[in-house]
Amino acid sequence: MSKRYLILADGSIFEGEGFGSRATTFGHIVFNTAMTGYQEIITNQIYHNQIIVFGAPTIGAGGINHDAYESIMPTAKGVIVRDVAEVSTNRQKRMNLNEYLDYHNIPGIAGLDTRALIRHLRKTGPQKASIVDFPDEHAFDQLNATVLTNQQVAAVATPRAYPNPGTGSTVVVIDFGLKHGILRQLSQRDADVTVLPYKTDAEAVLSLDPDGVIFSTGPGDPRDLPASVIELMRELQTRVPLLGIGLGHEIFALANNAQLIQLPFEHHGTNHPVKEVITNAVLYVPQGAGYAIDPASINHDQLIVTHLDLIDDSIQGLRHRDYPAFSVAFFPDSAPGPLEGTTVIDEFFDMMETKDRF
Amino acid sequence: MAKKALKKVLLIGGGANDFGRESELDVATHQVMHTFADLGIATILIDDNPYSLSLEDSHATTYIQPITVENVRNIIEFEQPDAVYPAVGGTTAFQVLGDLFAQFDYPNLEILGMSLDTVNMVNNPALLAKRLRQIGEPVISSQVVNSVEAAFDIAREIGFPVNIKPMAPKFEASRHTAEDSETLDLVLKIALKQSRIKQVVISQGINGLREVGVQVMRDHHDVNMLIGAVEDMDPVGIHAADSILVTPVQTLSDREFQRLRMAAFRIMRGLDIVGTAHIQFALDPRTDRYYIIKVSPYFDSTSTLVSRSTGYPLAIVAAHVCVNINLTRIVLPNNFAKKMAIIEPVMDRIVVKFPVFAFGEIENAGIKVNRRLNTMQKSAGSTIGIGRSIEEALEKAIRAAHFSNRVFSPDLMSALPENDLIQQLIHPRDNRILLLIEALRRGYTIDELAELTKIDEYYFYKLQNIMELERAVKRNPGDLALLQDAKYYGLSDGLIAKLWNQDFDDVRQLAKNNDLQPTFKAIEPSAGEFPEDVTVYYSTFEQENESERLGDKSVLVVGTGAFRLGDGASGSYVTSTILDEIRANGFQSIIINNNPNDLTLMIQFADKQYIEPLEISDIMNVVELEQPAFVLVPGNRIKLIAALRERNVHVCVIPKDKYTAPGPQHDEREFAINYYFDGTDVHPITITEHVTGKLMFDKNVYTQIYQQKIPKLQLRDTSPGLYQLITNQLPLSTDLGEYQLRPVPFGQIAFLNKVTGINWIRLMIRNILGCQTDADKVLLARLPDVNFKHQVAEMVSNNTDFFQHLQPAGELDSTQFEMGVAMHLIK
Repeated sequence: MSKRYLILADGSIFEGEGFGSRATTFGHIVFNTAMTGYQEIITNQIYHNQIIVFGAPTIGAGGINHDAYESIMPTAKGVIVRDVAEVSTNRQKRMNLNEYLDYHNIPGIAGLDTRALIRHLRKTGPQKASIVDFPDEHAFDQLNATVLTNQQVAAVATPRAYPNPGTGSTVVVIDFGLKHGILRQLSQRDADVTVLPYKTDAEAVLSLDPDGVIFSTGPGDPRDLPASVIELMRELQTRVPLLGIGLGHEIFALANNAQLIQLPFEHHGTNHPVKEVITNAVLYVPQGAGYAIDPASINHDQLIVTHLDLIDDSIQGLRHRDYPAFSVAFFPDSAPGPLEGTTVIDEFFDMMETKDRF
Repeated sequence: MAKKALKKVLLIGGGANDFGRESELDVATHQVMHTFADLGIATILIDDNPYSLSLEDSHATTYIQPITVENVRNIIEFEQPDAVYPAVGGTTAFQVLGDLFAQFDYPNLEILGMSLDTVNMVNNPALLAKRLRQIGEPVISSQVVNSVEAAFDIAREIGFPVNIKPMAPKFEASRHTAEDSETLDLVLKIALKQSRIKQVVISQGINGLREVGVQVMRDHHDVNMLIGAVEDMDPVGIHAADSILVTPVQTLSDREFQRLRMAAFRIMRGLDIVGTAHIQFALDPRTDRYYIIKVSPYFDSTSTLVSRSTGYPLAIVAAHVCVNINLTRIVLPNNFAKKMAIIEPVMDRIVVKFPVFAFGEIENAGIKVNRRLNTMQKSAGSTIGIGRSIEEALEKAIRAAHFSNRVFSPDLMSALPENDLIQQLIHPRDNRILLLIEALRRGYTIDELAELTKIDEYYFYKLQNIMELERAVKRNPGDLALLQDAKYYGLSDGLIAKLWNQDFDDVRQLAKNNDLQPTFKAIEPSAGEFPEDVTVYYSTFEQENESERLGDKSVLVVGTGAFRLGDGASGSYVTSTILDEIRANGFQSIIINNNPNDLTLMIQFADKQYIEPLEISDIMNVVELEQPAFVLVPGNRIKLIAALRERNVHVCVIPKDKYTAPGPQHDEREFAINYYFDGTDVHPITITEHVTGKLMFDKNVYTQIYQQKIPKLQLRDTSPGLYQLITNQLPLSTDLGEYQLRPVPFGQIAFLNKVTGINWIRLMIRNILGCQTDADKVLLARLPDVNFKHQVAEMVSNNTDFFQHLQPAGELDSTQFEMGVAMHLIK
C-alpha cells in the first residue's frame, strides 16, 4: 500500500492509500450511498468510465461472491472508500475485493476522507477525475486533456445475440450493458430469454416472436446512441409489451418525444422513496441516473407519469397511453437494494400474459 | 392530518430502571409528548420512576403512581382519554394493558399503533409464534409446557441445547439456555417462577447463529421503511445487551440483508403494527436460513441506538405515524432536512455499542459473581464509540466504557494459562475482546478463532489490526507515521503516552506540532447527500472538520457516561436538567457523552452534542475547539477535574461522590440532613430517613420535630449544590466535630426535586452561572420553612432479580448496587 491521489477537474486533491490495481485512470466521479452491495455496484455497467465513491465507511467484508456479479467484466475506473476489509478467501469468497480490482485493472483508494469528498461533490457537481501517483501539474494537464468517450454503450453491450433458455414467456432483452439482475429476475420467472445487441432491427426482434421486450440498463447519455435505437423503440412499442429500465427508460421517453435534462445532483443509492402515483404506495429502490426527464416536455396525450421520486421530484416511471409499454428509471431487479421494486417485473409479466387483450 | 377525534392520549411509562431498562423509554416518552403537544394532542403520563424527566414536563398531565391495572383503570375513568400509546412503556405497559383489556371493556379507547391482538402476542410468545407461522415467517419450533416433566419429555425429543422462556413473565425476562439436563432443571425452576401463569415455552437451541436486529417504521398506509440494522459481533447465546453491537451491518451480503428487510416488512404488515418496531433475527450462514427471535413494537435500547447512530428522529416520527399522519406528510423540526422523515437513513460512520459490566465493583465489595456471559443479561449499562472504521469505533467504545485506556494494555492477559484461554474462548466472559486479542497474539489463526467463537472472521482481522498497530507503536516511540496511524484508528493520547512511556502532554504537543488534529463530523441520516443543520458530532482524524465554535457564552457539560450499578438513570436525569437550565439562562449548552440511552443526547436538550469517550484527551479536544466559558464536571471525576484545571480550564464541579456509598444494613436506619450550599452559606432543606431498600420523607415528622436541632454547618472551597449529613441517630449530639458533609447522591436529588416541587438542580445551575433570581434568594433565606409539594413520600429499590442475572455469592446492597427505584407519594 502506498500513497495515491484522487484529483478532480476543479483542482482539488484528495490523498489516500492505493489498493487494487496501480493503474492511472480517468473517469467521471460519482458517489453512491448504498450500505450493502459493493460488488453489485462495482460490476454494474452503468459505471463504465466512472470513478465510484462509496459513502459506506467500510466495504469488502464479504469478499467477492460468485452470485453477486452484475456483469462479467467490470468497466468502472476506480473505487474510492474509507476502508477496505481484509477477508480470508474460501469457496464462497473466491477473491477479496483488493485482488478482484487488481485482476480487472481497476485502481482503488482507501483511507480517504470520503465524507469530505462527497460534501465537496455535492457543492461542485459532476466532473472528471483521475487516480494518480503524483498530484502534480502534469497530472492535472492530463486530466483536463482527457476526453472520455461518449460511446459507452458500444464499449459494454454484447456484440452478438445469446440465449438464456427457459420454459415460460419468451422475452427479448435489448442489451445496452445490462445488469445481470434483469436476467436473474427473468430466470426466476422461468422466461425463455434471448439477449440481442442494441443495433438489432425490429424485424429481427419480432422474428423471435417475443411475448415482451425489455430495453435494458446501460451507461451514458442515450442521445449519443444511434438514431436506430429510437426507431427500434418506436416500432416495438406498438407491437409487443415493452419495458424500459434505466437507460431503456430514457430511450422510451425520447422515443415518445420527451426531453432529457441533466440532474444537478446525480442520486446513486437505495434510500430514496419513490411514489407509485396511482396507488400512492411508496417504494425504496436502487437508483443511479445522471439524467431525468423534463416534466415540461411530456406529452400527456401520449405518456402517463407512473412513478415520482419524492425527494427530488424526478420522474421515475412512465407508461404509454395507447400501447402496452412502460418504463422505470430505477433498477427493479434490486441487486443491490430493496426488493419491493421487483413488482415492476411482475407487472411486465402480467402484461405479457394479457397481451392478447391489447 | 392527525385523527380528528384524538384529543387526549394516555402514555403508560416503563416504571423503575432495571436490567435492560435504562433511560430509553423516558427519551421516547419525552419526544412523543412534545410531538403530541405540537399536534394539539394532550397527553397523560403515568410512571413512578423518580429519574423520569418526562414526569416533570409541563406538556403532560402526570400521575406519579405505580403502573398497575388498578391505577391505569382509575386514570382512564377520570381522564377519559381517547387513546392509549403503549410503545413508550416497554413490556410493563404491554403487560398492564393486556391485563386491563382482559378484565374490562373500553369501546372508546383506542390502542395507538397496534391492535389488542398484537399487544397479547407481545405478551405471549406462543401466540406470536403462531401468527408468524401463519404469515409464513420461520420461527424456532417450540411448545408450551407447564411442568418440569413435560419440558424434559420435549427436550429428549428435540435434543439439547434447548431454550426456555417464561410465558407472561412478571417483568422483562430473557431466554435461558440449557445444554444438559442438570441446567434444564435449574432454568425451568427459574422460568416457571418468573411466569405469572406458571407456563414456559421450550424451544430448540439456536446458539452459535448470527444475530441481526432491524428497526423498521410503518405508517397506516402501509409505507414501510428500514431505519437501521444492527449486527451482534457475538453469536446467538449471549444476550443482545451483553453483545458488542455494530451498525451499519458489516458482514451480510446485500441479498441476505434485503431478505431480512422484506421479512421485517411482512411482519409489520402481518401484525399490523403502525409506528416502529425492533425485529431480531437469527441467521444460519451455512444453510442460508433465518429465524425470528423477537418482535418488539416498542422503544428499546436498540431503537435508541439506531436513532443515535443514524441521526433519524425515530420517536418523533413514530409519534406522528401512530396518529395516522402519513410518513410523506410529516413536518420535522427545523434541524432536519425537509423530507428526512421518509428517506431511509444511510451512514458514513460506524457505531459500536459496548456493554458495561459491574462485576468489578461487586467483587470489590467482596461478593463473587458469575462472569460467564449467556442468554441472561449481565451488563448494567453501555456506551457507544463512533468512528470511520471498526477499529476506531471499537477503541472509542471501549475507552468510553472504562473512562481510561487501561483495558487495551497489551500485557494484561499474558499470564492466562492456555487451558483457561481456550475455555474462555468457548464460554466468553466480559473481557472477551482482550481475550480475542490475546489469542491472536499467541498465534491462533483467524480461521481457528472464527470456528471456536462463531464470531465472523472479519472482526478478527480488525482486532489483528489493532494488535499490530499497538505493538508497532510501542516499539517505536516518537514515530510520526505511527502516531498518525494510531490517531486514525482511534488510539487515545493517553494510551499512546502509556505505550511510549511519555507524558500525555508531550504526545498531544507532538500531534499538534504535526497538524494531527481531530476533525469533527456530523451525525446525519443522508451520508452527506443533503445539507442539514445538525448539532450532533463525533471526532475522527481526517481532512475536513465540520463543527464550528458555538460562541463566547457556551457551557460544556461532561456527561456521566454508561449506567453502572448504584449510579444509573439518575445521572442522566440530573445532567439533562442541567443542560436545560443552562439554556434557560441565556447560555449555549454543549454536552459530551456516550451512553446511547441517555437523556442528554436528545437534540432538544443542548445546542450541541458530542458523542465521544470521556477521557481527558477527548474532553480537551472539544474544549480546544469550543473554548467554553465553563466546563461542568461531575465531582466523582477527580482526576479529570485536576487535569482540566492544570490546563487552565474553567471547571465548575457538580457535587458528586467518587463512589456510591453503601446503604444501611438490615437492622440499621440512617438519617440524612439535606442542605443546599449556595457558595457561601449552608441552608438546611429537610431530613430523610433511610432503611434497607427504602428512603423515606415525611415533612411533618422530621422537619417539625427536629427543625430546632438541625445544626448550621459551614462549607468552604466547594461547589454550590446539595450536601447531606449522615447520622444514625437523631437528634444529633452537640459536638459536630465528627460529622462530615457529603454530596447528596443524584438519585436522592431526583427524589427531592419531585417531592419538594423545587428543582434544586436548576437552583444550583443558576447559582454556578451567577444567574440567581430574587425568588431563589428568598427561597434560600426561608429554608427550611417553605412549603413542599408533597408531605410524605418514599423511594423504594426495585425488586431486581440479581440472582437471575449475576448469581452473586452474597446479598447485594440495594443502595450501592441499585439498579432502579420507584417512588410512592403518600401525602
